[in-house]
Parts: sequence; C-alpha cells; structure tokens
Amino acid sequence: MENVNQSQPVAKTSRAAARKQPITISGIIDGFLAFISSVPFGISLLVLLVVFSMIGMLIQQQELDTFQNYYTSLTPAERAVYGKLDFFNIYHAWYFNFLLLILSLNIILASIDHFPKAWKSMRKKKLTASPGFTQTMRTRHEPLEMTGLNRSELVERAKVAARSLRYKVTTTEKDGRTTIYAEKGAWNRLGAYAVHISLLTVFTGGLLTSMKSHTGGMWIEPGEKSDQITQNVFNLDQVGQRSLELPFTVECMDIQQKLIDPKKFIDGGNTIDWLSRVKITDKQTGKAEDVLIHLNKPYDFRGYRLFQASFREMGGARTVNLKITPEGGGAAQDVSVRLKGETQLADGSKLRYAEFVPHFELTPQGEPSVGSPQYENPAAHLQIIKPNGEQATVWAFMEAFQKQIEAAPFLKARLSPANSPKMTLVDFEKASQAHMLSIQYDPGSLWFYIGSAMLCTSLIMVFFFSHQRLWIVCEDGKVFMGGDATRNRLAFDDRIRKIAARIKRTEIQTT
Amino acid sequence: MSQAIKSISPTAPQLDLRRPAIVNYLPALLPIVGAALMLIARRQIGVGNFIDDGALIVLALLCYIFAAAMHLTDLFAPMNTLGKAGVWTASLGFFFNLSSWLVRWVNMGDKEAWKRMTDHDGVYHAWWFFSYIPLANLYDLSVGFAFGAVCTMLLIEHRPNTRFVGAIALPLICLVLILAIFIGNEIGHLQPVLDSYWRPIHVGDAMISYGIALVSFALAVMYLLKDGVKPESMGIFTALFSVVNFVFFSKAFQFATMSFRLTPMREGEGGSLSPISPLRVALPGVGPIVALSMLLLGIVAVCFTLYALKENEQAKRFGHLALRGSIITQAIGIGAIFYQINSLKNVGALIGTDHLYELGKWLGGKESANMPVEQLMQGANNWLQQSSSSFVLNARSNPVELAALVTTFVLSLIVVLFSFNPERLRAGLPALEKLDSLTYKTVSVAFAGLAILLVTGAIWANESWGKYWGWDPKETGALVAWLAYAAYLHTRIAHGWSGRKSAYFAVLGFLLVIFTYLGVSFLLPGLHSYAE
Repeated sequence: MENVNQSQPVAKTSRAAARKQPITISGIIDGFLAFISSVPFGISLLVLLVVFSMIGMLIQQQELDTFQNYYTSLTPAERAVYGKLDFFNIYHAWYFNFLLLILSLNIILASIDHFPKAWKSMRKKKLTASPGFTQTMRTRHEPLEMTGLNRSELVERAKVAARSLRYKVTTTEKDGRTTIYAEKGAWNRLGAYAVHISLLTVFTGGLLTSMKSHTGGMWIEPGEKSDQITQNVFNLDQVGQRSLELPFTVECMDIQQKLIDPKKFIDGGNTIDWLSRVKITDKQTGKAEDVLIHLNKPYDFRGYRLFQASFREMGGARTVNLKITPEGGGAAQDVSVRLKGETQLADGSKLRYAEFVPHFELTPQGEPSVGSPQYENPAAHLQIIKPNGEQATVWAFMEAFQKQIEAAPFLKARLSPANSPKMTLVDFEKASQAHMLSIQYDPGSLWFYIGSAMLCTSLIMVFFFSHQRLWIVCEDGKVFMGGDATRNRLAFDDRIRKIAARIKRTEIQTT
Repeated sequence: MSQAIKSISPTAPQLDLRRPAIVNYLPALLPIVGAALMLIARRQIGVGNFIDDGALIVLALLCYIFAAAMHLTDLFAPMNTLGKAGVWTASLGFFFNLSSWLVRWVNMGDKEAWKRMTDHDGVYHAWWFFSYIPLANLYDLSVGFAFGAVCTMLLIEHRPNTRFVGAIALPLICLVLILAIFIGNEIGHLQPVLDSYWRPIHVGDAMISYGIALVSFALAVMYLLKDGVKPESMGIFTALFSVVNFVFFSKAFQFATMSFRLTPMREGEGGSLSPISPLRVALPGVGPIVALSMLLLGIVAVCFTLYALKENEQAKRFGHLALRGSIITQAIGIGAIFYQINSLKNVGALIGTDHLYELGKWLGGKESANMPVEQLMQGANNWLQQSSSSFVLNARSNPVELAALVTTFVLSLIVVLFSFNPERLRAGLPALEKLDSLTYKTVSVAFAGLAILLVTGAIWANESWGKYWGWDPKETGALVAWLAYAAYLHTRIAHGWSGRKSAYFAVLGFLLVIFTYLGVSFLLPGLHSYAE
C-alpha cells in the first residue's frame, strides 16, 4: 500500500510543539486526535482484541452447556478473579465493548486522515516525466535504444502496446519529449475505504443485535398452539428462564422426519431432515398462513425468523396404517390416519388418531405407560365417534402384542371397550413427538448481511486488482519506462517487459 | 525499508513470456483434469474394483515427500532439471490428493445410497450431490487443506524463479497429510443441521484460505531467513513450541510415572473403532525416550537463546549437539510408539484403576450427574472387565498428539539442515523485495479468503441456528487469525513497520490459523466440536 501514514509526523510535531510551548487545550486535543487516529495505535488495538478473544476462547463462557461442570472444577480463587474481571462473559464486558468502540473510532479517524492522500493519488495525474524520473521508480525497464526510429513512431508503438494491455493512455508533449502516461485501476485506491465502511456497517449490525434482538424456543406438537417463547438467562452457573409473548400464534399441524434408514430409530444419527407444518396467525390482523419450516429452511414472518432447532428423541408416528375388523366379523378395512386427524369408517363412525406410544407397557396397576422412547412395542391411541354420537377410546397394537392381549380377557376389556371393532396397527411413518422451534427477532441481521456482502466484494476488489501507473518517455531513438503498482509488482514487471518487447517488436528474451 | 529490499536481483531467471501463459500453469491445472477423470472412472467402475481413497492419500504423501526433498536440494544446489522435477512431482502428488478427495465424495454418497438427493416429497435434485461433499470432519478438511496449499504453491511456482516456495511449504503439507492419515478416513455421520448448502461454500473457502495461509507462512519464514534471522532462532521456536505443547496441551505424557500414554480404542461391530476418551494406556518403554527428547529440546532452547542474545559460540555448539541428539531420540521414540501401537497385545490388561471415576462419568453420560460415586466406579469396573479384551491401540485415537511429535521431528530436521550452511541458503533465496512482495500477495488473498470464511460462517449460523455471531471458540479463533493478518496488512502503511515486523505478523497469523484448525476442535467445547 502506497498511501503512507501522515498522522505519525503530525503526532511527533504536535508533541514536540507541546513540549516547547505552554500547554494549550487545542494542542492536547490535536495530540490526542493524532494519537487515536494513528495506524500503530490501531494495530495495538487489534493486538488487544486478539488477546481478549483468546482469553474468551480459553476460559469457558457462561452460555456453554458444559459451563456448569467447568465452573465447579475451578478453584474459589479462580472463580473470584475471573468473575471480577468478567472473564466468563468477556465478549459482553464493558471494556470489550469499549475496545470495539475505540477501534471503530480509530478506523473512522484514520480513514479521514488518509483519505486526502488517496484521493490525490487517484485524481491528480502526473502527465509528464523525465527519463531520470522513470529510472527512480520501483519497477522499471532498462532504457530501450532504438536508433533509427523517430519519436512519433516510437510513441505510436508505445501507445498501441500499452493499450493492448488495457491501460488508459494519455500523451503529453513537453521539452522535446513525449510522455505516455498509462494507468489502470485508479479506483483501487479507494478500496480500503470501502472495506472499512463495510466493517463499520457490520459493527452497526452487531450493536443493533446486541441491543434489540431476542431469541427463544417453543416446543410444538401436532394439534397444539402457542404464542410464548422461552428464553434462557445466564448468570454464571445459574440458568434462569423467562417467557416472552409473540405478536402471533403458532399452531402445529403436522411434523415429519426424513430418515436415512426408515427401519432404525429417529435419533440424530439417522436423521437427514425434520419438518414442521404450522399455521401462523397474526394477532393484529387475524390473517393466517400455512408454512413449512424445516432444517436450514427458516421462515420469515413480520421481522421474526422461525427455525427448526431440535426435536424430542421420543418415537412418534406421523401417520398410522390400521386394519379394522368389525367386531361382529365381516370384511376388514384398511385405513390410514394422520396424527390428530380423522377418517371415516365403513360403518359411518369417525376414527380419530389421538396419541402414539412407542414402547407400550402396563404398570403393575394395569395402567398404560411409556416404557422407553424406542419403538419396542408401538401402540396408537384412537377415538371412535359413532354416528349416534357415542364415543370410545381404543388402543391399536401390532399383531403379536394384539394376540397376547386377546389371550388375557381382563386386559382386553381394559384397553378396548366392548362392542368396538378390532384394530391392528399394521404400519406407521416414524416421526419425532415434538419439535423445538427457535424464534428470533433481530433487526441487526439485515445490517450485518449488507455489511458482509460489502466486505466480501470490497476485499476482492482491493486485493485482486491494483492501481498501476506507468510512464513511458519517448525521445528520438530512445524509450524510458518506469512505474509503480499498489499490488502484485511481479506481474506488473512482466507487463512492462511485455510492453518493451512490443515496442521493440522482438521476441521476449529469456535469461 | 532497507536498501536491500528495493533492488531486484538481476540474475534471477525470469518467466518466459513467449509461451502462452497457460503452459506455465500446467502443473497446477493438469492434476485437476486428471482427478476429474478419476472421479468419472470411480463412478463407472464402482467401489470394489477401484483404488481406495486412503491408498491415494498415501501415494500423494509419498510424492510430496520426494518433491520436498527435490525442492530442498534445489535450494542449496540450484539445478534447473531438479527444480522442474520437483514441481512435477508435487503436481503428481496434487493429482493423487485431489483424486482421493473426489473418490471419497462418491464413497460417501454410495454409503448412504445417495438418499439426501431426494427431498421430503421424494423429488430428485441433481445438484444436491453437494450434500456428500467430503468436508464433514477434520480428516476431510486436512485433505482439502493439503491440496489447497499445493495448488497455491504450484500456481506461485509458475515462475521458474519462485520454485523455492516448496522447500518450506512442502514439508508442512506433508505434515498436514500425516495428520490426516492419523485421523483415519472412516466415513462418519454428518449431523443433520450441518447439511446445508453453506457447508461446501464455507468449508471449501476454509481449505483454500488455509492452504494460501500455509504458503504465506512459508514465504514469511524465508523472508526472515533471508533477512538474517538465524536458523538457530527457528530452533528456539521449534523447541519451545514442542515443549510447551507437550507439557501444557498434550495429555500423552505423565511426569509422575515418566510414561507415554495413548487412549485405547474399542473394536465395535464391523471392525469400527471408537476411542474410550477417559482412559490412557502407557506404552512400555516409550516414556523415558520421549522424556529425553523433550529434555534435549529444552537444552536446545536455552543454548540457542544464549547464542541469539549473546552470540555465545559455545552455546551454539552445545545447542546443535543437543538438537542432533534429540533428533536421534525423537526418531527412536516415534519408531517405538508405532512399533507398540502395531504389536502390543492385551491392551486391556495395561489399564489401571485410577480413571474409574472419569470412566464411570463418561459411560453414564448425562445421567451420571445424579449417580453416587461408588455406583459410577462400580459400573465402570464391571464394564472394564467385560469389554477390556476388545481394546486395541491405533494412531486414530490421538491423531493430533502423534502428529505433533512428527511435526517436532520434521521441524528439528529442517533447523539442522538450514543451519548447516546458512550463507548458502541465503544465497539460494531470492531478493527480500520479492519475498516481501510474494508474502504480501499471499497474505492479501488469505486475508480476503478468511474474511469470506468468517462471513459465510456467520451467515450459515444465522440460517441454521438463528445467531450470526455467538463468540463460539472456532469463530473467535478464525476472527483472531484474521485480525493478526489485518495487523500484518496495516503494518505496511505505518512508518517503519514493514519488512521483518510484518513478516512476524504473517507467521503469527498462520500459527493462529493452525490453532483454530486443530486446537479449538480438540481442546475447546463449542458448536464446531463435531470436528472431533
């Protein structure tokens, strides 16, 4: 980077002035400003930021799941010292934020300081040069001796050569010499400012997020609705919770799980994706919409974002396929019914699928209970609403267990009421019993996204291009070349050699 | 900036501009074409008859080792043919390396029968093959890191007079692949939340930027050597790095018993191995040798520091003696470790009873918090008696600790080699101006790459978790490395901070990258600990 720091000499002179003359307030302010806008000060801030971040990495932060164990493993002295210094929550400590603030200030002031110089080297072009000047440049070519060729012919060749490498060419005559000023990528001088503006945009987003955002979790199960989210509140090893009310309600309609192997359990190791279909109702307008939220596919609603966060590792079934034999005998009917959904049976009664138990067990008192989350002995709990309005609840089991139940009449009487059809669970689609949605409100993320996009673009613009200036001075029978580039001098050197070869109209020599 | 930086050495062979530019880039481009053909061949032939991705990695490592030897020889005794051969051997290694990665891509898909290619409605999406991109764990990333670095190196070496880069970059790349081989190429399960299209973007950018950072580190080290930093100072860093790492981070060495201990692994169904993290098994006879190596390295650090500070020639001589001694003991130690890993029987019988409580807690998982200590220990004891017969040792259990030992060995060798004839080395290196310019170029690109890494990581986190920045150790680590590079770039606009000072920042930046890449995954908890 060519834009040499100006603030350093300013700082020195103002400090020297302050020593000689009586101390004035403006002198102190000037000195202070020069100091906090200087690049070495900025570098020191970066180093400090690195140190604080390392502390935060090496000392566990209180939001981590493992923090409680870690905290109890520390000695009382460590707890007291780290706690006093806010090391368990360093990224939210006042001094950390203060450091970020000073760093932002440094970036702004240093940019203001350096801008005029960069602007000047971009706008002000030195259009004439002497042969001696070209040979003082960082990248230069030894003078070309082209006896027999007059100046205008050389100028023509040089212009063509420079243009062929996409340089913008300006020709100026002065003192019996022609200077060809070839330039490209002048805007590159401003790239650094674009980078810093992007960074400040990102910081603004971060500030907004830390002040205004809130995130919480909501468990959803088919058939249930809620407008509350639960937030974790951390205070060292104490985790508290608080609920927040949302401006909309979420009603879960259906949950689904995409498995790698459908024969295996629904744990994280066998899951590709899990999906919730929910109905979101705006409390203000009363408008409702049906949406699908699944992993890595959040849904945006009025500034809120709904994510799939986790699922309960408790075997459930999205749909059950049942074989229904009327109790008096007769043709069996195959039905498929969705959880919390209904279907019509052949005799006109309605069948509602209310609940699923993956591992059905009976307590010693003979009460149905859940043995484990695994699909050991699946059972579906169903409701039958007869056309005459009579209601009954029935359990449907897999065939083997069904037979056991039938062999024990007292159990059968307990689990399926008299004169209800015989229900056999044939098959079911595995899903979890409940999903956790994470619901986030974050006005800072938009700023963050804009800043990030700007940062990536501007960094690529800065580092993959350069400002190149080349002066080609032509005299009768002689050409002098020299220039500079803000980046990638080796490639710039190649380009000068290429131009020289094209002026000479010779092959390029290899040494 | 010193006067020396400004002059370009006139005798250096330059790029032949008569050839079409692409010809100079062939060593970097041909392997990509070749590896693509290997990918197609693997798809056509099927898994049984095709070369294993692990075998391809070993071939790549062999090529890199040969290429490193050629580059180092070329540095001390320049010879055009040798330089060319070094470039093309590295290019062949790049081909094997990339092929292995692409073959693994197909293997990963085959293992799950490409189930992720269909969505929840059963619709097939051809471009979802990115779900199987082998960027799921530290092995994958290490393989990618290695070819990212080799590709960068080959691109830079398109100029004949930049062929020196490989002399330091290639040994480092070999170390990265050795680490990968220790980790093992078993295909693990991908956590569902990580199956996002941001993964190939984010991790792909990581491997390329890390690769470029590695090359910039090699260049900065060369700059320092050329600028008159003594190879002995490099020796101080090597020795300190190893000793500190060994004493503070590695759990392998126990002072009280002078023993070197590895985590045993348990053979599960289908021959799969899983580590039993709370346990360690002492390898008979290895401890004292390793301790001696570390002691000698400690002496090296002290003697070389005396030499660096006070020009004490005697200290220098002693230091070199200790360094050479430690190279011998290190070689014996590493040999003994691998001999024991391969031949030790009855691993279960070597396990003492001093870790029963930790083992009980580990076995009990979350529920262990509510269990009494006696019950935990009793449970652990029972479990040990039942299953200790299926315990084995494998490099996979502690890949980073073992790779650290090999790294120390390689670095010690390089220090000895460089201090053999430092003047000759300095003469073989190009002008400071050029080293500085190349370092600047690679750091700039690595800096942009790391910025994109941070940004894509943050966006991915926001899309998947709803939080773009959570000060998770891995993201903080990446930020810290990025800040170090930012400091490097800014040293260049501040007066009097260029040259050596900025080279130190480039070195620091890469060390922080490595810390983020390994240290965070293995030492610190957080979202990215999936990499274990």
